[in-house]
Amino acid sequence: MRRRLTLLKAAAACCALVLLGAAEAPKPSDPKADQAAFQAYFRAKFPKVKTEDFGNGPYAVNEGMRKQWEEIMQFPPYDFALDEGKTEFEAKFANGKSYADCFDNGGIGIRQTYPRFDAKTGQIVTLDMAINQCRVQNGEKPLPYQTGLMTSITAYMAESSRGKPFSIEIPDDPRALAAYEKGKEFFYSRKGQLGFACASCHVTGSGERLRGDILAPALGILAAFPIYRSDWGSMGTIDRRFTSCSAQTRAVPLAPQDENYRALEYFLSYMSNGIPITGPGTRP
Amino acid sequence: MNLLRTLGLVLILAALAAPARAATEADAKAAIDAAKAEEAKAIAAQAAWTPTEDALAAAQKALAAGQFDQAAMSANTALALAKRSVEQASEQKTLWQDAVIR
Repeated sequence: MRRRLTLLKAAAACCALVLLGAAEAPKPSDPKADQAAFQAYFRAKFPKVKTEDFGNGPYAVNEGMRKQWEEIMQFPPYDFALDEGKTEFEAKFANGKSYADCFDNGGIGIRQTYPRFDAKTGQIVTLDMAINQCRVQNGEKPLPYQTGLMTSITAYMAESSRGKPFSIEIPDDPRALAAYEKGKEFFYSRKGQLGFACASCHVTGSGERLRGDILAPALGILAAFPIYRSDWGSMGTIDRRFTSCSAQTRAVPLAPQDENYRALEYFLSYMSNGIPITGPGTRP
Repeated sequence: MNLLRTLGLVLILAALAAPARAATEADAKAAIDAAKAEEAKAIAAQAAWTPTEDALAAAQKALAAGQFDQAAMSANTALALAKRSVEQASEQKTLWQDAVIR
């Protein structure tokens, strides 16, 4: 009888352990391990693509599209935005200061370091957000986030960083890690009536055709922003792309620079550390 | 007994033959309110779907036009979509981890 009781207790303990294991909260992310696995996945999937070429999106993985792109690049459609961005960037605000006063190195060659974690506010700050913070601090109105002058200024700043590899830092701060985790969750979560995650197209489907488009690999996917997109007939920021992706899955898009979109940009940019900036870019 | 049986049969046939009750304005409004309440949950979870918004807009348009049947039908569609979107958000709180590249 005593032996039977002992056996029952042991069985109950085993069950409890199994149940506890099932209910255990997921382990916190290790961004460096995530990044290594992420980059290894894409290198294995596209063994012929050089690391520095991943910033060219679909043109890196599809020969036919690359040829079309090379022809388009003889007269890059973002040139007007670059000119406008340079003029605006160098112009003085009403108070006599300029964008250069708000950024490290006068705002030149720093695109690859955004988004950044701001320890004072605990927020992720994208380059677009920093541009508007600069404007507001200097008594100017913020710019709309998806189109127009914002694309021109970011185009000019991106162009000054061409060839510089993404260098995103996740400082030893639980708030920074939480933001990274939020972006990671957003990237892999299925959304919208069609039930698509960002990863559905840009991991599983990367390099495949979805109707007329070749799906870009997630590795380096933000390196070319802002972009001139033929489908839009104009320039657009990362926010514009995120909101249009959301709508394509039949999800109600979040507001530009929503905490989740900024976290997603943080996650994707960190995953792309080492991939050079190619922006401004063009896309079909 | 036969008379009772016949009467019962007549009543059943009459019930089956009667057209479904048309929705009233109150029915349509109640259906829209229920859909809006569920959609508010989806919006709060940042999980709303565009077809839900479309169905809700169609319901309100039909209500304004006095087409109460159509309004109730669109509102019920919106309700079903909103419920599914809330479920999706709930499921994805853990399921997303299965897709992570490791």
